[in-house]
Amino acid sequence: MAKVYNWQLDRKMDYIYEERRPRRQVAWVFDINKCIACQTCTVACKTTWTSGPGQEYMLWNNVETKPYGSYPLKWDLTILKMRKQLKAEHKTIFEAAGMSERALGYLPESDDYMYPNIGEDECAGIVEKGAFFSGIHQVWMFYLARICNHCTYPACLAACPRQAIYKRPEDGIVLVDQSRCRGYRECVKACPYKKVFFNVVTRISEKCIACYPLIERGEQPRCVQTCIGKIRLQGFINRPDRPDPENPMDYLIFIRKVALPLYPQFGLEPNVYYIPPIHVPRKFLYQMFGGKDAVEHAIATYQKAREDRKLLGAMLLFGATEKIVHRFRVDDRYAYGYDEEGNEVCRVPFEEPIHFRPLFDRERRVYRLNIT
Amino acid sequence: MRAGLLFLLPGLLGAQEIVARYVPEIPFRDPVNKVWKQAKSVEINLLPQTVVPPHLLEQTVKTIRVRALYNDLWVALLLEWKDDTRDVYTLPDGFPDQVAVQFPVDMVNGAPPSFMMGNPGGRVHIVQWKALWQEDVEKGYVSQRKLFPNMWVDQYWFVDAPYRGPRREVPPYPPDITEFKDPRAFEWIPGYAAHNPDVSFSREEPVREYTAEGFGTLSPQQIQEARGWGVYNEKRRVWQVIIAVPRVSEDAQNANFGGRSFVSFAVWNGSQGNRGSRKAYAPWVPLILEGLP
Repeated sequence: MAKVYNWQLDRKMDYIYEERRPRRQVAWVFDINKCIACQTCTVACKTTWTSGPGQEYMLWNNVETKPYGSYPLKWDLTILKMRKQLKAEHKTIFEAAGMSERALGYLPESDDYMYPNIGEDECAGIVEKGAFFSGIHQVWMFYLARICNHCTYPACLAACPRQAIYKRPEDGIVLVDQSRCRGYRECVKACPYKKVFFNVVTRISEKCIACYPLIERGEQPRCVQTCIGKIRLQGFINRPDRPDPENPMDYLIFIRKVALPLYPQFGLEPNVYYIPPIHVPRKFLYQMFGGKDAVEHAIATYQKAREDRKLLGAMLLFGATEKIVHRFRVDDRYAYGYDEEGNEVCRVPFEEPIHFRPLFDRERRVYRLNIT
Repeated sequence: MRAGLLFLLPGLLGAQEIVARYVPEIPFRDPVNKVWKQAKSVEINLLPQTVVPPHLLEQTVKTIRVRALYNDLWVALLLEWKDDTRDVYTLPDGFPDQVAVQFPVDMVNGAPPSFMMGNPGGRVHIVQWKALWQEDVEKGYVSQRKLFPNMWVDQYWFVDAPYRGPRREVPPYPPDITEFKDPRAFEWIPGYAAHNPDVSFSREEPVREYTAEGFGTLSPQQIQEARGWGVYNEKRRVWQVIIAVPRVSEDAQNANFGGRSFVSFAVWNGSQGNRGSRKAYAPWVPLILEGLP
């Protein structure tokens, strides 16, 4: 076992391979507060990548309702419970694995994949009669959109006994080599997020490929491009100790710390970062997003974003272009996004222009009732 | 410490050897043929693989019984082991029963390479049999129609009706891979499109030949010559599997057999989640081809 530095835990940890960060790391920011679980991302991914035989049950991208939804069933509860039973809550899944395994994990049952919509739209409790009208009530739920985290220390990669999984040095995308895999499913067992899937027709494993054909030509993945709620931004992050304030991803994740990794305590350094939902009981979020300090800071920062031009500007880039935004800046009126060559790829106004139209359109001889 | 123990293991297991009897004809697909009785049966102890993680923690197959025959062209082994469940299918959480034999290719001063799938520069020739492949050969490629008969799918790309009919009828059953004929349909089968040598929808033998030079290096051979057949005896709860390899081959990755060689074994119990390195194995056992120098 090598000792590697995990910045999300701010400590060294055990990993099977030496620390070797990619030249740049693909990353995503998902603003959970804006997700409406329309599943457009899920369908975009499904029709693009997993519409073949053997892939029917696979959802490389899924959106589940928390607290009761999960796909595969109880993926999060199961691994949390395993860590608790082993009294390994302060250990990563690599440190808790013991001598016989490379990572602590479990293999889901086939049936666990059969209910992708379980718990959808279910609240954490019953809304008391009349509480709807009284304003704020204590019942909550939120949507958690999930893809492969393209982790810095992937458990799937660590667990594969034949090194059929690799992390690309140029962008940190984690891929299963389809010509080398033999379908042992050690990766399926090891990934705590359960984002590697077994294809029963080819009898080998598959996972999210971060739409690398799009990324290679400077475009964001399908799940990001198609998101109608504009909750997603994909880009590249630099090393955590050398953030670039002009890179919107670095700015949101490292500098303003408004977006947080999912279950960083597992130790994989996942690279999908979530802006936590602001109305959810905090203890639930502390467990999911790296503890009290991180969550409180992220929510406080997010709630003040309206008064913070640069932060708000970075958030306006979500869903504003299909291109990958490498650099951004703001002025009084706009947030500007630039591609790798410095070309402007989007310009988003801080305030939407308002057009006043007359009630009666003389040219077309029609009345306009909705005239905003 | 661990390496030291490994060297001791063959000694602990006792001085066994497998003697192959010459016969003119080998019953390649008949494990109950009387010809097999001509060869002496040897019971080999198996050990759980605990050298490289992931380990086999619960060993359910403890021994394997071996008989060997040879003729002018082939060396054949009949392998029998007790397994209470016949595990054939592969599901997201299901694994088939398997067995493999291993022969040394690169010998150094008459000594075989590491029995743990060889070592760098010390190649081994591995032949693996899977109950799933046996099913493929006997009953056609196992895909969704057998695994999930009640599954409902509305369409696949470039596959004809009922999956992609003009009226988009609800298909009556999940597909069988034989219904995929248009080459473009196979672009949606990633392992096939990537030419994974183990992804094959037409299989004539339930065995595959591999070369290895240590853990994690198992690679399918370009030339597949091995033959095999497996039968599960429901009454005795025993798998009986024949694996045969050419006695002399022009394939440089194959083992060639003189009078004295070595063989080692690995067994996987599918119902216990055995696969890959989670296996029971036996180190090298001498394999004597009776009557040959």
